[in-house]
Amino acid sequence: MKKKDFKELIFDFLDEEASPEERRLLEEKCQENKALADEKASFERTVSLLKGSAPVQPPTGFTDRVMLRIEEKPIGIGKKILQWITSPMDIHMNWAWKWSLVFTLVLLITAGTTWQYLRIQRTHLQVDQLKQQLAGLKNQPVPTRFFFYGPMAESVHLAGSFNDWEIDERFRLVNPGGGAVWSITLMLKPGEYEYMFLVDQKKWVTDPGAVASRFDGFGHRNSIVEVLREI
Amino acid sequence: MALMADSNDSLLVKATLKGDTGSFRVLVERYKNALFNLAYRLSQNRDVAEDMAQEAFVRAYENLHKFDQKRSFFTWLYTICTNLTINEIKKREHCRQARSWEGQNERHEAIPIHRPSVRELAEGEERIEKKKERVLIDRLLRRIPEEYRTAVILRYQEELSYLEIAEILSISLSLAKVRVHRGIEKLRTLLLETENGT
Repeated sequence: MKKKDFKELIFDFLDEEASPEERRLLEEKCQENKALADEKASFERTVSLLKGSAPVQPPTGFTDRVMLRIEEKPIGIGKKILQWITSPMDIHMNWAWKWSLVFTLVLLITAGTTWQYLRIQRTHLQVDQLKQQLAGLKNQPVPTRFFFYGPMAESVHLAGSFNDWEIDERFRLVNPGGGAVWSITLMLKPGEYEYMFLVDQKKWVTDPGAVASRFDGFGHRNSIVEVLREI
Repeated sequence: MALMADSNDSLLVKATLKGDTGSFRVLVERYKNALFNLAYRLSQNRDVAEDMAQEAFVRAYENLHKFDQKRSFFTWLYTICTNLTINEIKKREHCRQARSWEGQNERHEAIPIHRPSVRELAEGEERIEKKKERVLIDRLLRRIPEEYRTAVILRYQEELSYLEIAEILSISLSLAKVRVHRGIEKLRTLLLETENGT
């Protein structure tokens, strides 16, 4: 055992943690040396004075005042929920309940995983279908309208790369009510086309509203239209 | 169902968490003396003691959902009260020092001098002697550093174990012992000086 000095022995004695042997040793030291005996006595007196301090009583009505303050601060629903979530709970279960819980958890995890897997598969399938639809839409004809302003014209035809520049009554523009604006709507597949208007069966006219035009090698400029996919 | 006064702290805490304030009243009744005494011994002021003990109960109630129910409720309550009282003492000490520095209060700290009343004289010499001793030890306690004073009070007046002191003050067990021993040593020196008139 480590040999304790006098102070350590004193504190163990005061804390009532000294062994009988240590108490005897302390007494022996005090009997041999009066200064040590006085020191021990002064420690004992200090502790005795501290312990002799009489307890005080709280004033009357203390509990009521505390409870009044507490009841003045009712716990809100949010705090109640927080308390319910954060306060620990004691759960007691027998083995049957434990196994039921484990089985339920395993079942839930399996069902959840399977459901998630099937959901992902279904999403992949839908994406594939959409891709196919988009690919199909790519070459779907798109309604394309052509306008021509000809107040003096008696007939206007449209000819271009989409009909091999054939002059055909199916490509004759109409002017409802005999107005100056002639128009026709064609179903064209997406792509770039060259075209011109033939006025009164004799005069080739480049569309002034076309976004672009290109020389045709015969002294005229072909109008250009670009038909885009609808999506 | 209202819990009875002899229910243990854990049951009362659980019932309070479920909204039964009557259970918390039982806890207040159970620990009001201990808390008031603790606050009084630390502050040596009845008004501060009442305020701090009340505040400790209110704070405990408000933070009950954070209380780790594996711990002792009593130690937790003591921790709250100790911290509140020490902070209040520091605040008051700071204000007192500030006033002193401003020259508004140049005199030394007022040490309460016990003046026995006629009634006290009639109570007998022994009782008066006890009162004098109590006043003396309170006065000496005020002269040692706060960290030692708190540790000594918790150990010898509140009779807590070193483990409880360490938990309440959030320090190690060995530091709790060191603080108590140094506090006692300082008190003893002051007591000898006072009694020898030095």
